[in-house]
Amino acid sequence: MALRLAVSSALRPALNSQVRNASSAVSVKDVLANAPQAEVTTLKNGFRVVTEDNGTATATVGVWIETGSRFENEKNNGVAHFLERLIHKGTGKRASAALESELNAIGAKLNSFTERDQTAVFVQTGAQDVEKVVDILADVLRNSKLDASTIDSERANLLKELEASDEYHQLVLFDMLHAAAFQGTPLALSVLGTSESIPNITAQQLKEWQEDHYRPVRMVLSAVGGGVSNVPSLAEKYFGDLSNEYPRKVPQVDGTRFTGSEYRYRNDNVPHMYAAFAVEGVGYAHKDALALQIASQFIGQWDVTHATSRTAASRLVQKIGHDHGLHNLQHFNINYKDTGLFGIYFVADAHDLNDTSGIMKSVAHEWKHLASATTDEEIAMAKNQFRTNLYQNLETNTQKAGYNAKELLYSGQLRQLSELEAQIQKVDAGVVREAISRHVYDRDLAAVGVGRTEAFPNYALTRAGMSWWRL
Amino acid sequence: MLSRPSGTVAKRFASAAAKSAGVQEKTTVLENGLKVASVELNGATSSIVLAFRAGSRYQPANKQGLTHLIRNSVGRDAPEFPGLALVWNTAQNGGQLTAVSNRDVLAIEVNVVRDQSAVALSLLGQLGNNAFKPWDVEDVKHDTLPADATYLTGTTIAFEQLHQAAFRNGGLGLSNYSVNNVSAKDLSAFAKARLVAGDAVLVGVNVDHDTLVQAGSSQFPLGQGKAAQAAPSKYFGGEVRKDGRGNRSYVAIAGEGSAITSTKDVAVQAVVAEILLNAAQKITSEAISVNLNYQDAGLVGVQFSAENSKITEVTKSIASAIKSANVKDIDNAKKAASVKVLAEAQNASGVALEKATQVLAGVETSPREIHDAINAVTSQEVTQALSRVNGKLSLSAYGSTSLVPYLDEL
Repeated sequence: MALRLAVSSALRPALNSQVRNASSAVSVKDVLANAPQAEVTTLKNGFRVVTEDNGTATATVGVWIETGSRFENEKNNGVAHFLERLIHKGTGKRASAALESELNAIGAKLNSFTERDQTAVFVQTGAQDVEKVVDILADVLRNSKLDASTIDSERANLLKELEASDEYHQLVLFDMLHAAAFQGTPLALSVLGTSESIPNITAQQLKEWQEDHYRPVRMVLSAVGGGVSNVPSLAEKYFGDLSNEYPRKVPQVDGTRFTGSEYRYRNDNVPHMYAAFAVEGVGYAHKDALALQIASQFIGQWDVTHATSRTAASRLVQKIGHDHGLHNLQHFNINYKDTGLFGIYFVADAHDLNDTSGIMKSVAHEWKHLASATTDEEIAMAKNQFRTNLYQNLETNTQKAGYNAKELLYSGQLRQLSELEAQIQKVDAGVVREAISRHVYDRDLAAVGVGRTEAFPNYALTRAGMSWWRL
Repeated sequence: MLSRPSGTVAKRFASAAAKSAGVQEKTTVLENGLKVASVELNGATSSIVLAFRAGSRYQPANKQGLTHLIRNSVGRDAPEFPGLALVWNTAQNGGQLTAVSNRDVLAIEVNVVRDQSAVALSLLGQLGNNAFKPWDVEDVKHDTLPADATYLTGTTIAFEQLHQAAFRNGGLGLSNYSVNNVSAKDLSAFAKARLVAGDAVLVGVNVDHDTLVQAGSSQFPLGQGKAAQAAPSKYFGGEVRKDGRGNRSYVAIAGEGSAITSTKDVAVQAVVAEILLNAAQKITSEAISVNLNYQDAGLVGVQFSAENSKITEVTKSIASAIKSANVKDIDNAKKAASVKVLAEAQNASGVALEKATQVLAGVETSPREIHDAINAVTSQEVTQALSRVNGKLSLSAYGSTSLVPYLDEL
């Protein structure tokens, strides 16, 4: 989190002239070219293993699985997340307490999360304990006990958390955004499930979910750190016998459909208006994915505790940061495997329609600017910002393991960071203008609001502003 | 955000660098007294930190809020350059600018793709040379202080109050978030006295050492000299409670820890922190560790929150878990502490802030030493440290404090 964005050339020469010796330093390109490379191995049963041995004293090992709420329906909504929670609760071989104490003995914890299209289970540990971790991961993923009393107590927890989650307005907002944008398709479903579906999920359904989804071709074992070079053979030992037979139907995604729409939940007891406006983005491996990511970086992110508004490094924030009752503004670009969402999220006082419409008017101006007039200098800035963010968020073993797994799950291929860097360098203003023209300019929006939405920007006006400069 | 106080700067002195193979560390002292330290982790981004021995403990007693205001003023006009140009140019080169402070240290940090680290250095030199123009200072006060106060979380409030409970009116008791009537003149006077070369360090992670030294000697217009040392802060223990709205309450319980200056004590405290965290997490998975080493004192314990309906029970259970904590699981705790230390050392920004804190406290410990020190911790040392923690606890509560038992009831 910090300052992002923006363009200035007026004073740059004066500052740059103070720089000496810049060329003698090692560049990003050199560093990435000499960095340890990730290697992919595929077992006979289709189970993929990606390892990156960087010689550090710790390692992160985990399994990323193609499952999640987009494979669910209204009746079993939340089952993927439910199952992920239960894998912490012991297996046939290891009771819950034994699992915990074995992990404690190697100074580790079992981490996991579930999203709309993936579940991840991973452990960070010392380099010498990698085999132990693979053993534990295989055990929890394959032999979860799923006994009735554990299921019921976890169900109670989930329902409590579901109720508590109503207070997290941003979370609610993004669930609503998916519900509106992808209405009528499984991507509309929330990861957490609903108060109607969770009570009715049975032990049988959980077991079947595990059998249907935790299949070798849907899983990637990703290991980054020291002592991980023998992970492929460990994978063979612990996952090699896992079969690809599906006792029921093969789970698959039934296509996607984006619908321009509006969804508001007005509650004047919430102190602000939370709002998001998005067009349909692109899938992770789409040729415009990087250009949209860089465009998203151009608009950037700001909140009221940033100690800048008039001096912010963003023409948008300078324009609207101080007189529209704005608290938080964040551009986002979400990529799923085959579709995405590209848009703006903001929190504002929303005392007045002029304020909220003004925010959207300015945002749409930036989008139109990106579609038609953005310059190479602006895009160079956004690219630099994006690269700093990207590489900074891939420093640790855990972050890198997640990246490697995501590459494989989403695109079936793995870009080394040096290749990614080369791809980023190829994106220039022209590429961004074309991508934005294709996916954003004059496109339908999904518009959602939570809280004080009385002054929610008018849909027709906002939609017209996607192409009319005067709006 | 541009400005945030940092609990982590002094917290994990015990990290430094992990990759035993590729890591190189060098420190040079320049003529004007500025220390320049570089660490090479072979990463694609550089983390550059300009840090001063000017954290909240150095604020004059009647000028609380000074560090908060200085922190929030980073990015405003320097004597020769408008703040806007500095911030924009930093961004243009991919730099992300942050100002952080804790009780010991005030730091300005730029994270940037390493190709641009030389430009970022020249900008950092100016960003660290704020002119504190009166209209800028008024602007910052008006625009940022109310927002900071509004967005303080229960966890932060409890954390700040914990220091007050532990150190009373001593320097370490002073908050990072105070807001007081401080003027531009006060800022300038403080800056002139404390933001000086003899009390500063320039750290670059993934920056070429020679580039760093050259920039340090030519592009950082710092005043000469050295400021007064901080008065030592004595640990008292006690409790501070503040009512707040909402259906959750936030509690921190900690005891006396160790100063950053002894590697051995820091290692023992890291193990103790793991033992306490593990005990607390058995009661609520939301418990987090308090493991702080300042220049002359430390705090170790846990922090947690719970719904009001449960906070009484949870507080009682955690307090009794802390009191009955023992060395039974010392091996697990040592393992967890070393994994944590090594894992944190992968993060360039964290490493840069740690290094700056170390250098300003007059210590430099290699990662191997820290790792070995944790492995060498004995049961006896941990037992002693645990009994010191329980000798006099500090408790801080924010939320529905009527539901949080008093220390002598626990």
